[in-house]
Amino acid sequence: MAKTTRSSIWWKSTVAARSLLLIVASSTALGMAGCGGILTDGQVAAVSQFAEATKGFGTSPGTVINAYAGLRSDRALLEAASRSDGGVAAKDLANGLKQRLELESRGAAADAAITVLDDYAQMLGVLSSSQFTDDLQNQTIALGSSIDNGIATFNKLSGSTLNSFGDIVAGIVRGAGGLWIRREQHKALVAAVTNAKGPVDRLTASIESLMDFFVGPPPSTDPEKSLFARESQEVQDFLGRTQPAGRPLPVLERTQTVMKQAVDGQNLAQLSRRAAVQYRAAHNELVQAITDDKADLKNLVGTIQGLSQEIKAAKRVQGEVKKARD
Amino acid sequence: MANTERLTVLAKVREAKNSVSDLLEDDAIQGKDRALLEGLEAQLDEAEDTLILGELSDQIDDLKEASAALGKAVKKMEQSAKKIQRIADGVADAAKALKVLADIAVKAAAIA
Repeated sequence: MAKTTRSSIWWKSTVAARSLLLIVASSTALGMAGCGGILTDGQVAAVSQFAEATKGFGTSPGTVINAYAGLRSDRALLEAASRSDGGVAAKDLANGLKQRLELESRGAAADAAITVLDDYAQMLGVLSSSQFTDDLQNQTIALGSSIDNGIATFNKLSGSTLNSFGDIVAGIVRGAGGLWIRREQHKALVAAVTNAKGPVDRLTASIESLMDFFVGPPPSTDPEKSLFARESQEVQDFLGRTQPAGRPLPVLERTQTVMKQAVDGQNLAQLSRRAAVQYRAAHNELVQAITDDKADLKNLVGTIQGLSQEIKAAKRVQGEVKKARD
Repeated sequence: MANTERLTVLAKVREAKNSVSDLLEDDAIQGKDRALLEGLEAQLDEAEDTLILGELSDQIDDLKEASAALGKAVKKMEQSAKKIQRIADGVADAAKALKVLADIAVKAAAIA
């Protein structure tokens, strides 16, 4: 009798649990019907690669401006050394220092403005993260085990031989819940990259334009259009003048250092410009890949790898520029 | 975008600087004339600096505007992430509720 009662209670409970699951699963399925796809593994991988490749992209333009600021200040020093008039020499030094400070403040402003690209990369990583479904995975494994243990306990107490179904329940919750989360992630990513497309296009175009100002628009190699090449040429021209103190070694060394730093600064500006172009191309392909499930991800992976290489090259030169300046 | 008028003036200032620099390489120019040329070159430097800063400021303003627009998109992404987290928490809560239901059934069976 007790056996029958226990079985009856258990049966009613499991019927309730199954019904609840059916409702949850049906609601989820209905909710998902006709509401777009879910985030695929390929899309997740592409977003992660993009986010990873673009980390730290935002610091190059500020470094270019600061590199130029240092050159301007050094040029003032060498120019002052070439003066016959002490008053003009003092003015050279004051002008150089003032300009350096002004440029450095703009370098900081450029860095601050571009930091948003790092924030964007970070949020892309969050929205495509498997963390949301990983947590669910752990919760459902615990749920399945709990139900299995409950049935085992019940069978032991009642002498029944009910089949366990913890794995089925866990599977339904994990499956339906996971699909729901992945669909929301997909929706959020589609909205994110679509909203970001315009600003990213504009931001990268602004970086390009800024770098053009420092090295001249491509394909120009005219030194007159490059601030770096011009600084280098000016300090070399000072050596053509009769210098009040002759041409002592420190002056020559300083001149050579400026020439080297001008080359490094120019390289960095060119690399930053190329990286901005590549960033925009990779982002546009990413938008395509996220908004169109049938998009070819192979091209995107290749483009992201190219972007990664450009950014790494820029970071290497950036390190050299900073090291030389410090 | 670059201000072409400003860049044209900048190019002219540089031309003038090149001319002054060429003259300063002439050793025959000495004394007051040289000091005058040096002073002129310093003034041209100042003009060049001002034009460069003006151009740079405009370009950075463009950067800031684009950055602010992307910043808004990032804010929306943060809101989306919070929403997804709420959904994940909701599903996890449902799983917990089912676990509690299973526990109750076992307890009920044990009592009966």
